[in-house]
Amino acid sequence: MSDLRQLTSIQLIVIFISAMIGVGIILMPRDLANAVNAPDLWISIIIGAFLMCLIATLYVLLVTRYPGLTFFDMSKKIAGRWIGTLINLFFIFYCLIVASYILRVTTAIIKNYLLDTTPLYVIIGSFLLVSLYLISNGPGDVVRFFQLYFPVMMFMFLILALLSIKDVDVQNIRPVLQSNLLTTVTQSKITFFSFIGIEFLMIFSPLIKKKKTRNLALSVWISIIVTAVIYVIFHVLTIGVLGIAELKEITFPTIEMAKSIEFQGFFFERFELIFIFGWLITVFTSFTTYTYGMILGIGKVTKPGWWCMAGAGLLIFIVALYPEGLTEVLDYSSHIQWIGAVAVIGFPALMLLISLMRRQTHDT
Amino acid sequence: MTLKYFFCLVCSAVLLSGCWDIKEIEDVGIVTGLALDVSEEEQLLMINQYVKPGQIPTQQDSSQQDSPYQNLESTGTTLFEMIRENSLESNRPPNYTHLKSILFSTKLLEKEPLNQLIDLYIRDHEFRRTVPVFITMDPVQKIFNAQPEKELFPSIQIKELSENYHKNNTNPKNLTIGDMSQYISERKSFIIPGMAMINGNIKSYGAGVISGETSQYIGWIPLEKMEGIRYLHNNVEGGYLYLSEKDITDGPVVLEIKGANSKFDVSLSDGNLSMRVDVEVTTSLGEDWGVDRNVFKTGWEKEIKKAADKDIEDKVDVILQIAQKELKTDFAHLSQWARIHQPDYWKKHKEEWDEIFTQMDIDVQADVSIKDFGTQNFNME
Repeated sequence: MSDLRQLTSIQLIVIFISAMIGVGIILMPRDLANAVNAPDLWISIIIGAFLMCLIATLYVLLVTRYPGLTFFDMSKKIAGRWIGTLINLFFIFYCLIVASYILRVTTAIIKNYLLDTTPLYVIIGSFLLVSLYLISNGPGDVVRFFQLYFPVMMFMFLILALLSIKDVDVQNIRPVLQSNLLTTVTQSKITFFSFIGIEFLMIFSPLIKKKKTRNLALSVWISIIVTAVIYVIFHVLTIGVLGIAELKEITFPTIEMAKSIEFQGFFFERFELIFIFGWLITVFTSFTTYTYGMILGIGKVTKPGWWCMAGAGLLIFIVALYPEGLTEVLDYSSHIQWIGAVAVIGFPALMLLISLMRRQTHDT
Repeated sequence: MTLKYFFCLVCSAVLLSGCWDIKEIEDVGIVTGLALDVSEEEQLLMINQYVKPGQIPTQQDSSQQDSPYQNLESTGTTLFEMIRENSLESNRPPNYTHLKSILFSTKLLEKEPLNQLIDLYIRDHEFRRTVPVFITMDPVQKIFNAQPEKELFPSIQIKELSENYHKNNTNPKNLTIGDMSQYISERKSFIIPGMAMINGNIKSYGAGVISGETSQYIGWIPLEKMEGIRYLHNNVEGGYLYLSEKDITDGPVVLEIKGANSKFDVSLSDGNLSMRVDVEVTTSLGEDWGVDRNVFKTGWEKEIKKAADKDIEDKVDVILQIAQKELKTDFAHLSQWARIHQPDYWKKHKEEWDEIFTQMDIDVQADVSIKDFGTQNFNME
C-alpha cells in the first residue's frame, strides 16, 4: 500500500490535467471544425472552459461540505442508501463507458500508426493490464505516476507546438471574430466535454484533508485554465497547419499535424512516432483515472477486494472490444456525452441541492 | 521460491524476446519515387522506383556500376491493386515511408480527377503528408529512367530541384501532398510544379494548373511566365530581376532580390469587388553593365527602380491574364483575401467565386527599393 496520505495543490493540478487531456486533444479539432466551420472555433473552447469552471465549483462545495468522503459515500449519505446506490451504479457505468471509449480510440490510433498487424485484443489487453497493475498499489502510486510523467507529457506538447509553428499559414486562421457568434457559443457543448475528468475531485477527496474552499477552488480552476490553454494552442496550430476544410476530413488531426513535421535526413524524420509515445502517456493517465474510479465504485457498492479489479478489467475489456469499427466507436461519443452530462452535471448538482436543503454537513 | 523465479523467467522469455511486427530492413523494398501515367490500354500506369542497396556506390568503391534503382511498372484500375501487383515481380514488399516524390503526367490528370488519384496517399498512414508532388507533359518513364549526374535517383533529383525556389523565381515552391489535399478539400485551384526532360537533363519547367472544380488538369504555365505567381503566393525569398537595355538607358542591370512581401487589400463598392496588390521588394545591385553609373551620388537608383517596378507589375499582370482570361480560375489563391477582408460578401458569394474572380479589377503596384550595391563599382566618367 502507498504511504501517500495527503495531496498538495500541485499534485491536485497534475491529477486533473492528466485526467482531462486524453483522446480529446486528438479528436476534438475535427468535431469542432465540423460543428463551427469557422477559423475562430477556439472561442468555443474558452466558453466551454468557463462553463466547466462553474460546474467544478459544485464539486468543490460538495467536497468541502463532506470532507473525507468520496462521491460514492456522499451519494449514499445525501440521497439515502437505495437511491445513493443507484446513483453510484450509474457513475460506475459512466466510468466504464468513458474508460472503454478512451481505450478503443487509443487502440485504433496505435493500430493505425504503430502496430499495424498486432491484433486488437492484444493491444487492449496489454494497455489494460499495465493500468490495473498501477492501480493495484492504491491511489498514492497512481498520483505519483502522474506526477512522474507530467513533465514528459508537457514537454511533448511544447515540442510539438514549437515544431509546428513553422508550418502554420496565418491566412488559415484569419479572419478572427467574423463567424456566426451563436454557433460558436452553442457548440461549446462539444468543448465542455473535453474537460471531463475534473469530477475526480470527488473521487480523490479522501486524500484532500482540511483544505480551504478557496484554495481548492483555485487549484481546480487553474487546472481547467491550463488545459484550456493547451487545447486552444493546439486548435490554432491544427487550423493553421491543415486549414479548416481539411480539418473536417482528417480522422486524427493532431497526429496528422505532427506528421507534417519533417527533418530532412535527420534521424527522427518521423516525428509523429515520438509524439505518439508521449501522447500515449497522457491517454494512459486519463484512462487510469476512470478505471480507478470504476474499481473504487464497485468496491463501495459491494465489498472492496481483488475481484473488483478483475471484474472492472473484464468489463472494460469486453466493452472496448464490442464496437465493430472506428465509425461506430466515434458515433458512440455523442451518446457518451449524454451519459456524461447526467453523471458530471446532473448528479452533483442534485446532490448539492438536497444537501443545501437538508442543511446537512459531515464531520470527520 | 524457485517457482516464483521460474515464473519470472518464463514471463521475461515471452515478453522480452522480440517484436511482434518485426520487419528486417534488408527485406523491405524502399520506394523513393512513384509516377502515374496512362498506359497504352487506357488504364492506369504506375512506376515504383525501388532502391537497389547493393548498387549504391560507396566512397571507397566508386567504380561505375549499374544504376542504383529499379523501376517496376504495373497497370491496373486502382492504385492499391497495382502496388500489390508489384509483389509478383519484386521479392521485397514496397515500403513508402521514405517516398521522396510523386510524379503525375498531364495526360493522366486530364482524364482522371486528382482527388480520386490521391485518395490512397492521404488515407494510408505509410505515406507522409510532406511528400512533394510534380507534374510533367512528357511520359513519366522518360523522367524516371533518366540518369542524373549528381544525384543517384531521378525521383530524388526532381525533389531537390524544387528546393532551389529561393534562388530562382521561375522555380515554383514545393507542393506537398498535404497541401494538395488541403486545396482539394477547400475546392481551390492550384498549381503543381512542372518537370520536363530538356537535352537529357531533368529540368524544372513551369507548372500545371489543376482546376478546383473538377480536380483535373486544365493548362500549363510556361517557364518564362512563371515569375508573377510567386509574388501572388507571397513566397518570394530570393531570385533576381533582369532589366535589359530596352528598359533602362544604361543597361543591362541585374538586381538580386533580398526579400519581398506582398500585401493584399480587397475593397467592396456598389457590390463589386476590387483588389489591390502591393508588392514590396528589397534588392541589391547584383550585376551592372552600365559603366558610368555613380553609386555614391544620391538618386542613382531612381531610373532602375522605375524600370524594376514596371518589370514586376508586368510579370504579375501576365499571370493574372492567364488566370482571369485564359484558364478562368483562381490558382493564385486570391480568394483567401476576399474571405479575410470581406467575410460577409464571401459567405454570400463563395459559390460563384471563379466568375467573380474573372471579372474582378486587380490593381498591382510594385515598390522596389535598392538598398545595396556591393563591394566595388567601376565608374569610368
